[in-house]
Formats: sequence, C-alpha cells, structure tokens
Amino acid sequence: MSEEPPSSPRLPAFTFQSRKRSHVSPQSLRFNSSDPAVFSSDDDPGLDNYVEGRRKKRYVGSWFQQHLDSVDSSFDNGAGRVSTVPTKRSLKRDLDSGVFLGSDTTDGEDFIEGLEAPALPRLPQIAPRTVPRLSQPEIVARQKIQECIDRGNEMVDLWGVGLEELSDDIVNRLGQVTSIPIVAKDVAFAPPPPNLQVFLALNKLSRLPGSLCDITNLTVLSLRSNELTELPPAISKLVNLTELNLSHNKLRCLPADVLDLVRPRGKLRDLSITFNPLWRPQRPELCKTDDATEERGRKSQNSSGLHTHHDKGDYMVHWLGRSPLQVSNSNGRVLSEFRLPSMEETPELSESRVSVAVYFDEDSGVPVSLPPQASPGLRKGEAMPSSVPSLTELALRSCSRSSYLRDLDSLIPEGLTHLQKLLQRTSLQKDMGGVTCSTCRKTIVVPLLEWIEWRELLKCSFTLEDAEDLPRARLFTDEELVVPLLYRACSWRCGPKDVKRERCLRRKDE
Amino acid sequence: MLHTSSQPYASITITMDDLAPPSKYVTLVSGDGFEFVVLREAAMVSPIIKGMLDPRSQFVEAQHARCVFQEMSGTVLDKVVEYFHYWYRYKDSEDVPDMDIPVELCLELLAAADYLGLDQANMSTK
Repeated sequence: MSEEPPSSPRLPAFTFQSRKRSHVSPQSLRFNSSDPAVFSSDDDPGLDNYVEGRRKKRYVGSWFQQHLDSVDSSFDNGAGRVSTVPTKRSLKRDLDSGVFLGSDTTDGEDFIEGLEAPALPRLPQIAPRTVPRLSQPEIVARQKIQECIDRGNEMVDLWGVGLEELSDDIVNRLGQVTSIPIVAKDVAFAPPPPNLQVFLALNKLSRLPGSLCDITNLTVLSLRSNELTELPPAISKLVNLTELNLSHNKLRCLPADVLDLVRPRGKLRDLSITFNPLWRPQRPELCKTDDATEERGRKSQNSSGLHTHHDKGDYMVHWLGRSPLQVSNSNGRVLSEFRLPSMEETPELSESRVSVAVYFDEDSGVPVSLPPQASPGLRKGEAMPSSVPSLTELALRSCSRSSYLRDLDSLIPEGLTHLQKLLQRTSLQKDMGGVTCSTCRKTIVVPLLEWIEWRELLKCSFTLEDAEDLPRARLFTDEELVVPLLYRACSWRCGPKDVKRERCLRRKDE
Repeated sequence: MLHTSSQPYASITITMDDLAPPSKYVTLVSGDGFEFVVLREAAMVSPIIKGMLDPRSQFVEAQHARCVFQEMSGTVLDKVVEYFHYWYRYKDSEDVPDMDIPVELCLELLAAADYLGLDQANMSTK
C-alpha cells in the first residue's frame, strides 16, 4: 500500500441507493452468512479490509430526493458535478408522502431491477376522443339561453352573437326554454301555449340542423342576415310558426313544404324572404310586380274556388309556372337535359334564372306548356311511370335508419366511391332532418324528380266581405312574394300532374 | 361456341335446349350454395341479369338459365330475390307498400344493388 501512485478519486455512480440497506453485490451476499475468511499473509489483517465497512455518506437528502454531497473538493472540476446547493426546504406538501412501507420478509426486492415495463400496453387502448371545443360565440349563446331558461323568458335573443353553426347542444337548450306557468288559486292549471321566439339574426349560420325543426313550440324564428343557402324541408314540422324571417340570406329557393305553414293552412302570417338571390323564371312576365297585382287579385277572387273565404292576414297562393323536371337516378346522377343550377353557385342576381316549362296563362286561366324545344325533356331511354322504389334507394333508406350512419361510408370497399358519396349525402340529409317526397310525404334519400314551381303569395289585408263594401279599396297590400318552391318526388306518379298526361300521350303516339 | 357439356353443373334444376323458347323461371345461386328459382320476368328488372340471360348471347348462364353470384351470401340474395318479386308485384300499381330491409343488411344490399344495376329500377321498365 506504499508505492502505488495516488489515484484520482472515483466518480461516484449515479445510482441512488436507499439508506435502508447498503448496496451489497450479489456475490458477497451469497457468502456473507458466515464469517469472512481471514488470512495471516495479508498485510493488514483488519476485518475492515474484508467486509465492506460503513461507507462514507456521499449523498444527502431523503431517500427519494437525494443529491450528491459535495464536500469533497475533487468534484469541483469536471462535468460530473451535479447541482450541489441543497434546495431550501419549504413547507409545501409533497405529493409523495415519503412513507415507505417495506416488508421484512421479502429479501429479494433489490433484484427486480431487470424487469422493465413493456413499452406498449398489451390491450388495445381506446384513443382519446377529441371533444369538440366550444367556440366563443357558442359560450355566449349558451349563457344567454341559460338565462332565458332560468327566468322563464321565452324570447331568446341571439342577435349578432357570431354563431357559425347551431350545435346540438344549443338546440337542445333552446328546446328547454319554457315560460314559468302562473299558478293561481281557483284557476285550472293549463300548460302555457307555445310561444317560443328565437332571434338568430346577424349570425353566420350556413345551414340549419334538422333538430331545430323538432322544437315545435317555436312561434317566431328570425334568421335574418345569415348565410343560409338551403332551408331544410323538415321546417314544415314547425306548425306553430307565425313569423319566419329569412331575408338577407343566400337562399335560392324554399322547400315546397313551406306552403304547409302559410296561413290559412298553417299559422304563418309573416314570411319574409327579401334580399335573397332567388331563382327567377326566364319569362319575366311571371314575376311582374306592382299594377297587375290588384287586377289579378280581383280575378282570382272570382275564379279560384280553393279558398273562398280569406281572413285578414291570410296568404293567397297563385300558381305561376313550373320549371322542367330534373330527373336523376338513385345514384344521384342527373339523367335529364335540364338540371337545376347548383345551390352553391353564387351568380349575379340577374343570372339566376331557370327556364320555364309550364306557365299560367292569365287570359285563358289554364296552364300552358311550352313546346318541347323550350322545355327539353328526357334524353333517350324513356322511362315509364312506376312507383316502385329502386333497391338502391330502399337500401339507402335502411341505412339512414342505422345509428352508425356516419361511419358507414368508411366500410365501403375501395373503388366504390359513388356509394361512399351516396352514404355521405344520406348522412348529411339526416342531419338536415330528412327529405320527404312533396306529394306522398314518404322519406326519401335521392329524389327521382326535382322541379321548381313559382308561386305568388299575396297577403290579404281585408276580408273579402269588407272589400265588397269598399269597391275602391285596394284588396291586397303591396306585400307580394314570388317564391320559387323546390318540389321533390319519389317516383313519376308523385310528379306534377300535367307531366304525366303529357308523357302518357307521348307513349300512345309511340 | 362454348362447350356446355363440360361445365361441372351437376345440380341444374332447369335444363333447356338451345332451340327451345326461354324457360319461365331462372335459377339464381348464392356464393354459399343457396338456389333461388325466380320468375324470369321478375329477374329481368336487373339489367345485369338481363344481359346474362339474354337468349341471343352465348353465355353459359343464358343456356342453362342459371346465374351464380359468388360474392353474394344466401341472406343477401334472398332479399334481392324478394325485391324482384316486390317489384314485379307492384310495378303497375298506384300505391306501393314499403319493403322492409333490415338495417344490418343495408350495406351488403347497397353493394348488391349497385352490382346488379338496380339503381334505375324506376326507369328501366321497358
């Protein structure tokens, strides 16, 4: 022990050792049950040379928060130096309580170091679902609706909140808004009449969810100044609607189902659709305004036997004309030469004109169909009227009943993209509340026929009895609407009547 | 010219001469071996089957009036055949009841309908 050059002190290994049991190599552990051998030839026959004695304490701190004790000056140089300044203890609570409950019986607990946790869990893990986060406008809208629910205020004012979409959450909340009924003595309790008023004006809505149409106690719905391109046909379910404001949107037409809401059939007495790029008939005389109104109103008073009695506030509906039919197959491919301009296109107001096939002749009072070159019909492969839906259509209707509709398109094998598109369309329509045949009211997915009919809505400001007393009074207000209504039909039989006659004639000729 | 005698069809239900008028019924066989004997006129709603069974063609199917659909299971073909008869029964009537399609079959039937060209049933009645 004399001639060896002084060696630099070893760097301690950075394995934290517990204070409970000093680290003993497995080799020595195996033999240390008996006394160590002592040999007389050794230089220093002290026991300390054989048994690892108490080692100098090189770490400070509790067993779970150890760091190097750097009293040793040799640690000062070198990269191995760890932060030596002991952190000041503060009275903050540690998550690890530091209580160690070791059992006395397990001796081998130091040897389980070789076990490693598997990198990947064996069982399939459920991927965390991305929860849609609420946007700022939605939070505001929720608060406002909640206030209305709390106060029993049936006038929900969501003006200019900046909503881009009506989520299901918001619609559900809207459905919960009811007035608080007045309970008084000697008055029979009755549920309050529906009187929900929702003002969604000045938002950025581009479509309406079909679930909104399930809130049947809605009476006033204002959607002014939004970005709606289409109104869901399910809107006809809002039977208590008295006011519907759709002005300043991007609507091209209204679903034909709206006619059911209008008085005297429904309760709607204020329908506003001004400032929309509505489709206009190519024949400009169909949408004439001003002077002729009074004249025509008088005439229809004599001729139309449909609604003989009109009250103040009722709408009189005049049939003006009809576009050619757009025929498509169950895949949604358009077969006819005429096709409706797409809803998304945003041409100039003057350009959004649709050709007319049949119009109402005022002099004779009967619908007149234009010669075929003006109203191109079907291409080759004439169809015969049959009401039987195709199997594709039936399967799609069945798909739309499935609760997994959103995921169905991912199950379609590669190469059948048209089926995927069909399923996506089905899913979209289901969100809109479903599409029904305008004639037979069956739920359909892909309508066979689609066409536009222009109707004129005139609002009566007097009852007719009053008008007879006042011959010079203007019968109707100048509130007059020429509305393009989109009709959908599931089969030829549900199509417009005049077409059927036309087609039957043509078949006889053949 | 096909050598029909060498075809391994042991269980042909309807055999016919090449010269005889086409039989009134045709046999549709599913991939798992179920056989359905269907009115020829009803099966003609599908342009694909119509093409297969066209007597002017030289297809084996046309000569034996038997179509094998390897990719369709018996349950799916059962529904398809039901649709054929549904169409045949109601093709000229005004008011058509709904045919029920179970939701669990809807995707397979959609693919089958696409394969059989049944997307234009409304228009292919000639």
